[in-house]
Amino acid sequence: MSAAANHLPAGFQLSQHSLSTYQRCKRRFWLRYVQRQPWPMAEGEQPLEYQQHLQRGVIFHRWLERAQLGLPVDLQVNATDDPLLQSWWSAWKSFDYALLPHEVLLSEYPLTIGLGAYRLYARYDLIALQREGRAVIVDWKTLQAVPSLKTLRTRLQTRIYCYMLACAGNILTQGAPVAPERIEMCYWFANEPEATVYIPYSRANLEDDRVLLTELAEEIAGAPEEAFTKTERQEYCITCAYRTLCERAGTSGSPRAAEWLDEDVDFALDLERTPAVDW
Amino acid sequence: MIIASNYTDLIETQRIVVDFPKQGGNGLWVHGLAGSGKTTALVARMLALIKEGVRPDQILVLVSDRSQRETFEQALAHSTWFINGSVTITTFYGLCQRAVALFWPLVSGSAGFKHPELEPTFMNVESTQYHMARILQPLVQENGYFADITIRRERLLSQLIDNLNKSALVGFAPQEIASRLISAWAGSEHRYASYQQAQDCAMRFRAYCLAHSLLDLSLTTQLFVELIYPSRAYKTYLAEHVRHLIADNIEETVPVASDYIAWLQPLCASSVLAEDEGGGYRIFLGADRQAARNLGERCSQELRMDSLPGINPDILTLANRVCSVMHLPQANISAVGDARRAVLGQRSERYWVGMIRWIANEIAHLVEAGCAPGEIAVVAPYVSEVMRFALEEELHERGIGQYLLRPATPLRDDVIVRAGLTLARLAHPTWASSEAVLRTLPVEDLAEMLGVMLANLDPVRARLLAESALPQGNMALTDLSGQVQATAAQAGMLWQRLGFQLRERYEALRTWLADYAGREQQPLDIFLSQIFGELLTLPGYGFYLRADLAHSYSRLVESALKFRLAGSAGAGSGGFSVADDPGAIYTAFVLNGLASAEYIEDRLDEALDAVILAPAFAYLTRGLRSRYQFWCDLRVDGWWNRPNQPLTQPYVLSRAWQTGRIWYDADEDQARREGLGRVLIGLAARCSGGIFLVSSELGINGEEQSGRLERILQNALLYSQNNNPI
Repeated sequence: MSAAANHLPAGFQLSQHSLSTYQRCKRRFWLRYVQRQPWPMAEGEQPLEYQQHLQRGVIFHRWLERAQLGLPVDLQVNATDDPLLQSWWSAWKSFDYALLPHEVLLSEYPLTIGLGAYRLYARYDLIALQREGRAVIVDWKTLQAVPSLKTLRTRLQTRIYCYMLACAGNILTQGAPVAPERIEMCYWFANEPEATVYIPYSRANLEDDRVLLTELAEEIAGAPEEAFTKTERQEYCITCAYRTLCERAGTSGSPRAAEWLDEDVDFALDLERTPAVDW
Repeated sequence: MIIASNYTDLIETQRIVVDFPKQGGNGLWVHGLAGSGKTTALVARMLALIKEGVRPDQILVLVSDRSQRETFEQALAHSTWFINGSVTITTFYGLCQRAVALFWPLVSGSAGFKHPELEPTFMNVESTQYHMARILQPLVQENGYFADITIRRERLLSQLIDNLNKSALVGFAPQEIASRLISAWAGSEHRYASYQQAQDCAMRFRAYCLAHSLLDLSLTTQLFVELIYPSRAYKTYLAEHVRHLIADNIEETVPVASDYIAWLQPLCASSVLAEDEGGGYRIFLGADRQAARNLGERCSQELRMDSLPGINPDILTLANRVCSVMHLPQANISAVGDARRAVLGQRSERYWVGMIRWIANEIAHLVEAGCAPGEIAVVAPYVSEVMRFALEEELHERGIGQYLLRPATPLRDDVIVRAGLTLARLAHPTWASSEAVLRTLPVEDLAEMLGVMLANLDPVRARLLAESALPQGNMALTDLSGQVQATAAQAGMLWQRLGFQLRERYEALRTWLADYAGREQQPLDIFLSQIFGELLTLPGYGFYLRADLAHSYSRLVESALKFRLAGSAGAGSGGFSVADDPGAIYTAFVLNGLASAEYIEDRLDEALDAVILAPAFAYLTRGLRSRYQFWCDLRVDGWWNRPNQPLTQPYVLSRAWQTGRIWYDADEDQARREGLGRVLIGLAARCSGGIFLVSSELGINGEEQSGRLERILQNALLYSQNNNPI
């Protein structure tokens, strides 16, 4: 695999978000993840709501991480005047941890593996595994609507998270690899906790995903800059921040904002880990 | 830096670092000059640990700044074939902030926060300055605080904040600031009152933060040091998260970070600490070389890296001769070179501009001879806007780019930021009554904004348009559509001169602003995003397909957003009052010159291949290296003097300072000489090809200059001629 064609540096970090973006719009991938091009337009039509959603997502994940560590969280939780945060929290309290293996429990766990000349990165909300038994990846979703099971099964997040755990799970078990058939992906929905979904993984999935991800990485590595073209599906452009840079400002149709928003919540969580001051 | 897994690339001492036992809790102290290969060895050790099966997330790499983090991340990026997992690479403050956010429930109740139930709001530099200014203003206006001190407001604020930071980073109680400063002061007792006032501001600010759950650097650090890392919960957390410690440039760390490392070492399976001899440039930020050295000396093993793969002995010998002339300790080097060979060119021009031109010519010669511009650095004690512009223009004429590395540039120095704020003022007419600096809009500001926001509008035409468009009475742009009788004739003539295409764009801008002013007001960051997307990025406007210009504008949006979030943290009980408009406050604060927080995008992009222009401090602390360096403005006292800081004192507020001692002129002189010696050795150790010594008799403003550095350098060179080698 050559990384020279488009000048992406060797070791360039890919993620489920950047690859999903690539699948939807190669140009956005190029601008956002390769060029890191700032273009300070709002992603949606309600920028304040959008920001609030981002903040809410960050706080919710922080509460969960604290709870996972056994820290007391009630004081902050009870004091919030945000009804949505409250309802998410009370929904989470009914989440049945007994359904999860609990020999190893890691929250907000970052993992990186090699993918050809590049790296693949994921930050897991929660990994729960038994060294010789099940390994469950839990993702706390704050989406407004619950996607269909088919969408969740084929979603790049499902494929990448499971694939990475199968490839690199040995570092968590201290030796033994995590066989793919032991892996499950659990999507829990803050707005509809009863719609929680467990998606099993398999060796066949692993092989399919290896092929898919390798092909994607090779395609990206071999593409010159001009191959990173704008999406054909212009409904994605309606709420994309780059729409004026791409001269797609006049696009009409049904917006597909939710998916960018999901991406941004995770992005904000990762950015939160960047300190603002040297010291 | 690419560290492959090729073990054979390493020199002997680097292999010792890599092979140092990885179990048993041993600690290794590695020290040597910059360029002796310490960081390379640390990176190789990090990779070796992973290769040998250590969980990457159980390796903690502590670095002194974010740019240094890149070095370690790059190495990981180039080792994809065997790396699974993520190493934690962070600054000490990054570690503190992350821990405080996570362990907040443990400290919010016991630390004295008025509302422990609220989540914390971490402030950046700008927000911290704003809140300090809010506390300071009535004290200055009504109580006559700091009446005896002549200093610009932003510098006053930064020194007040600096005192608090020092207390947290050095590890003394904030209540002791004034007593420490007073006990060391050798001058008139009049200064005591100012120190007491600085103390009062610090305590009021701390109380304000506790009341509103606001966390500045000092409070965040103090919480981590006093409450979090001694807790059992944190220790349990660490047991899962940190097994191996690697710390680079410990001489740049603050005393409490050294304490933390000392506390952490016995909990780890292994630790390796690297110290840059002669470093410790961040003394003004609280770095404590002695604390770091003590830390190193407590390690079970010591290793000096004395081979100098990246160092030119001639240049280092010159720096050593300078130290010798100043009666300072010299860098410990095994190979002595010829100091005269280090200097590739010398020039003293009569005029400052002549000096800049000479530098540009010499750079052009180097580039013609095959040197990449990115391998050349121009280093000065300070870099003014005039210097940036003058050198940039000269280099541009010769087809060479320039990269300015000047962290924490005030936002108002950026023309796009100013233009964005002018737009905001026009969209928010009510701001004019809220802040003094917003009351009038000068025609120059309006012309500048029109020149930026309307495409292809040169400064002369922008000025013409601004003179007609300047708001009369209120803050709305003048209607120049020709449909208003009073201005119709004037407008007709104007557009004949400027072109009728421009009329359409101007009118669209005017009506957009007028419509916005009539709608429900949005926060400033939202306003800036909206007008950017709805107008300024469309054909005919300044940002149309101009990705290059979006960086500055984006920085403004981000800054305004962070400011709003920090300010609204205590809304209702503090922070911004209901009557306050954070946008107006922010705009006034920027226009009054508040310092900028440093943004990741400000970091050097090596791909640019442009000549680096940097103040010496920034150059050294960013760990840059160059083939050629121009040491310029050698007659400027800034090489010698430290900044005037009447309300703080980095040496007195350090851990090494003996309470009760007085800081005499002799101490000041010694500190200056030592500081200069460190800077010159640091620069010399980061230059592989040679240096150029440049000065001008007259300064940038035409004043005679007689800085001592040039004389000392001449003496050192003369000394080399007569006594070669040492």
